[in-house]
Amino acid sequence: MNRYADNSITTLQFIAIITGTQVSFGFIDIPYELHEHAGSDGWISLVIGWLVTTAASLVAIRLMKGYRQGTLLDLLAKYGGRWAGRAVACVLACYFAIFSYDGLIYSTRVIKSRILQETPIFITLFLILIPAYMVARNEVRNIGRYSEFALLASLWIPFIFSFTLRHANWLYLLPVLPEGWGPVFSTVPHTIYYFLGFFASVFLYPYLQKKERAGMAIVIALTLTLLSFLFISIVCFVFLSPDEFGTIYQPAIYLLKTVRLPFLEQVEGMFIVMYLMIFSIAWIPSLYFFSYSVNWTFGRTDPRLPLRLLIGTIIVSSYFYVPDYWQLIRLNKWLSGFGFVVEYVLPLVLLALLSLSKRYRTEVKQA
Amino acid sequence: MDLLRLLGIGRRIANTASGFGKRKSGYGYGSSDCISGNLDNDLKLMLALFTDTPDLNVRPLTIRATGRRAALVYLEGLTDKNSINNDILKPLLQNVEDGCETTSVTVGRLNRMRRWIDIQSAVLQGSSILFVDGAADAQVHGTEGWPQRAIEDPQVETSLKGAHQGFVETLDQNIALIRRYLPHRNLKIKEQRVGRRSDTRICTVYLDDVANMDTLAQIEGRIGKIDIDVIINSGELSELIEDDPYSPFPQILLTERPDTAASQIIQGRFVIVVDRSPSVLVAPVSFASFFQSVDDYSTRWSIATFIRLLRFFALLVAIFLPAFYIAVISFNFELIPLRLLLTIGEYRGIVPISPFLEAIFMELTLEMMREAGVRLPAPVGQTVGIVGGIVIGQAVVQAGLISNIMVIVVAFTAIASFILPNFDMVAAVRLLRFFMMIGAALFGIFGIMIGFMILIAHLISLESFGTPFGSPFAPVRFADWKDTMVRIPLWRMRKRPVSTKPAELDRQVAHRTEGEGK
Amino acid sequence: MTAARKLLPPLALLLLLTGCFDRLDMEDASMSLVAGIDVEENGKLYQYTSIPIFAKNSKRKSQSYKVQSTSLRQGRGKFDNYTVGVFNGRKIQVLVVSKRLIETEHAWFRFMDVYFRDGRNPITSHVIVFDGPLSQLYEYTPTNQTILPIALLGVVKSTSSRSESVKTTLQELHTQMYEFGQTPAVTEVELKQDLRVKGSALLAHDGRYVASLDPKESALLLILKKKNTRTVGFSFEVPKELVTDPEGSRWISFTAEKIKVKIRTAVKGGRFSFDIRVRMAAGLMEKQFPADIQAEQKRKLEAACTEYVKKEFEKLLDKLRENKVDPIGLGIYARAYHYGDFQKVKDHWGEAFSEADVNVAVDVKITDEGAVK
Repeated sequence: MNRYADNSITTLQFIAIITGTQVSFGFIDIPYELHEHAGSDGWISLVIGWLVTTAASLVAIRLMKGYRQGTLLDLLAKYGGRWAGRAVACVLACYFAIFSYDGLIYSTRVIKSRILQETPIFITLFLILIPAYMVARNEVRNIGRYSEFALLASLWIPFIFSFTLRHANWLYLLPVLPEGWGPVFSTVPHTIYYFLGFFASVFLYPYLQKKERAGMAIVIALTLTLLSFLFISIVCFVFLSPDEFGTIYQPAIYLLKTVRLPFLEQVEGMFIVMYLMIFSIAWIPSLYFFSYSVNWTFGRTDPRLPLRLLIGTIIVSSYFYVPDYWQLIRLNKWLSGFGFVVEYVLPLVLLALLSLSKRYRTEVKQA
Repeated sequence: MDLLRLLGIGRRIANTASGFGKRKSGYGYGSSDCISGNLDNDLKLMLALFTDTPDLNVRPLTIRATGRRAALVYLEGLTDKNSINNDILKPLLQNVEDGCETTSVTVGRLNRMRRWIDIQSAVLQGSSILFVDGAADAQVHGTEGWPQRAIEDPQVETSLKGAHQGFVETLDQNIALIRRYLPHRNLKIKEQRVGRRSDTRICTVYLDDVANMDTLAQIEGRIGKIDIDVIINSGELSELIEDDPYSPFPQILLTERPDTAASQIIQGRFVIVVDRSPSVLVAPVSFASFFQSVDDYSTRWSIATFIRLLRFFALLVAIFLPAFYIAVISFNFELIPLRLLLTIGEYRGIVPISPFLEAIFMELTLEMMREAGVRLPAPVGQTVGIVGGIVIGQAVVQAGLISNIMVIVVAFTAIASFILPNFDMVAAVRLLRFFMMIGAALFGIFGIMIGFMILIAHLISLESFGTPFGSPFAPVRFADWKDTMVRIPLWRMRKRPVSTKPAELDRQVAHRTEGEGK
Repeated sequence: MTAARKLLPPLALLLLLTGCFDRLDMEDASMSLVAGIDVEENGKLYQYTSIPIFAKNSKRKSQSYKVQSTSLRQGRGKFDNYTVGVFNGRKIQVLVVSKRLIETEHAWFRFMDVYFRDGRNPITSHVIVFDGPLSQLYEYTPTNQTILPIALLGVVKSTSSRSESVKTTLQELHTQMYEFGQTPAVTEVELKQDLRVKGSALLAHDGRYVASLDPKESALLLILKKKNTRTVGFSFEVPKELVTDPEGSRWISFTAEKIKVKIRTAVKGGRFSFDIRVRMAAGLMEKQFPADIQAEQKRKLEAACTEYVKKEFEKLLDKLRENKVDPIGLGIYARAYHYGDFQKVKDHWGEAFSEADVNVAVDVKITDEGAVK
């Protein structure tokens, strides 16, 4: 398995890919989603969602610990046979294709409504797919480098948001739990969608230089995600009155509209454009994982062909049809369910099956 | 049309015939053919090899000590006359003591050669050959003395506090200049020869207990694979061996400063010296290497840090400022504060061409002026500045063709690109600027961002001899940040950069404790 | 990896794609800088706009237009017919509504929808109520060669820096309009010889005009909103017993600094009660009577100042309750600390506020006497 050693990624890159995938458009969207369901207590649901996700991600890491030389698919092939691997690979290819499509359409919709209102969507899509293709065709190592650069290059974001704090009214956070714990718990499933992406770890695991740190790394990644979500949610909660919250989509962008720097006004335009870097981590790794899964099914290694096919399909289809905002929300809801099954349930089931089969084998040996 | 094509093909055939194909057969000897030992035959063959070579001097003589007939052959301009007259001819013609001709010759380097191919190349490199009748091999004397210039201040990479010796066109002298900084037996040199016609000596200099041997293997391998007729300059070699020749970025650093070369060797890098070229190659390098200069290490670290930050800021300005101006004026003017907007609008209002054309026009003018300034002799070069200053600075604005703001933008960009220390990097930046401008003219700030992302996607996939070019930014290597955007005090720089994968990481033992620095 | 294969497809496609769809050169755009809405006596809605002219030698730096329309977006189309460039609101600085509009047309805030919906429009524009017909404002040319938006912004900025009027941006107005526990307040401007800020206009929940505050009251309001970052000046006549010559001038002026406001809420028998404690440090600016500001005298003077400021606050709060508006946002405190009780009254918070108990306690400390005795 020389392929994994040549392409090894550092712990930081591992963290960057996972955090980047999770944060991307969640950062823009999550305050609205949380407030819609749980009011100003949404941040509590976020913390609970984080706990659940951490547990699920540790299950995924535990699953991979049993097999250090390959990805999840190699693992399945070893224990369940080639066809079990292929079946899962097909599901995963579908999942990642939809995941990246969702991210792409979301970002282009944001760009369309805020920056390039008259430019056709397929052009915007085409443009953002150029760098995506350049990175994704080059194996995991470059994806790792890209992600960590994007993450580091985005450290200015908290600072720019701190300018909005002079409009903050901390009383908006009170009272805590006015309606009891009910809404808080019922919001937790809605946070799942924004934590999707940690599943990348089952693909990244064999590439990791220091595998013993995988568990720690994924907890750090999830905590980073949680912190950034908490940050933006609380900033939005103290900025927007609870009564006006429901009227504003993408509150993070709305907030920045009030920032005026001495040399720059309406910084939200610059923000959206520069945030594209983070947006792109949502789809670049998934594009790669898609092509990896497809290649694995057919026993190929060059990631370029499936990538080209998918990207070509996305661009051409966008010329004829692009989901509108409501369809996108429905897609998100659906993807959230799909993602829950793939990222939360699947590793658990596989782990159970694996330990069963291991026990069975040892029993057979003993007998 | 047909005639032209025929001519072209004909010429190409002639080239290959005389150049590559006929090397073995065309001159009447093979690569393993040796001299006969018969002086007349050998001289005849020698003259046949060097027909139409008036600077080939054949001096027949009789060695006084032995009384044997001999002939000294050398190329006139390439050899040192004094050495030939005093150290070879004089002892051979006058000494009588013993019966052996070699002991009387007082030249430092003396070889014996037998094969014609070696003798031929020795003559061409400036050695003088002594054929002795009846001897099975010829004596080759190291009498090289070709025209060369004295060691001077480096012309391109000037420095305030660095040494004032620059590399020259002679390989041995260049290596000597490096060795002066690193008189250590672990300073190793691998010599290779490249070029069928030029037979250029290429030396890879490195510290063998510091540098990474995998990288050395890569460098040697790539140089060894080159099959070309002539290498004139080190820049040509760099293009032949760099990782991604389609990239706008230089992946090998060229320097004409021995102190820079030595300090790069100390950091675990390799210096490739090319004979006849006054600049040497440094590899493997990363993006950040192009923003370091020798003066950074001899000025106070706080100043050096400030200048480093200034350079990276200048890099951003030089690439993005005109593009940003176009984007803001043509697409996203809501980004500009109102008063500034009104001021810019006042000037833009009278300009008849679009901001993009305006910017392209000004940038091209600036590029032309810069190019003119480089090529023109110094006295004429000054007039370029005057013409540029008057025509661009005043007339164009007064005529209302270009807005004042655009002139300011272009001037600021130019100044920003002047402070970048490496010429090759500046060239890349100049090129990128135009791509960014096109992106901005088509899609505003979104276009710039796409350009930026493409740039990043490209930079992270670049490698320089197996080490990542984007280091220490992507992949992030925090340990190497000590000498990129900032320059921490030297006594804290205890390790070599990780990006070169050195075999020996530690550079110094801390001699100052934490408190002592205060 | 050959260059041609790498570069050709994107380049070829780019050539096909180019069209500069969103390009709009700055000088070709007609940037509306001051947008105004007015209703005339015939009940018809009129829109005004002022756009800058980018020509160096033109005498007029800006141009005003007026059209009749029912929505701003429709008005924009009409403006396009008039103006040279493409009309847009991406740089709107000031939104002016006439007093008549907000008196007659209650739901005027819906006209602002276009600014929030179009992602490229700013939400930092100032909202101003103009006391008078808007045509008067748009025909006005500022004396010192500046254009209308600059003049308007200047006058708003300078008064708000002296805390003489609230400064409400579109975004803040949005918050105040939607917030149940607060009613909106915007700057009120009039034109008498020159542009002048009259004070603040108080609006009811639905946007209806209710009352106006003069600059002094506005300053007090800002203190209670904890919004004033600058100092606030007070001047009044001290009681006679403090002065040696009761017939002479008794005026004293001071600026309040380090103003601390604490607001406590309580619910007693279904009624809200608010305890407002205001502490401030006073620096004497002017004292038109001789008095030694030493131990006892100082205490008395401080007490006089406290009494005066307290009265002023009480007057303001009475005025607010009388008009059933809560521009301070006391309802936000009520919701934060008494959620259940607030939910019951949130739809008519103005009424509930008017019935609430509000106690003001003021504490003025003289900290700076100035350079003379």
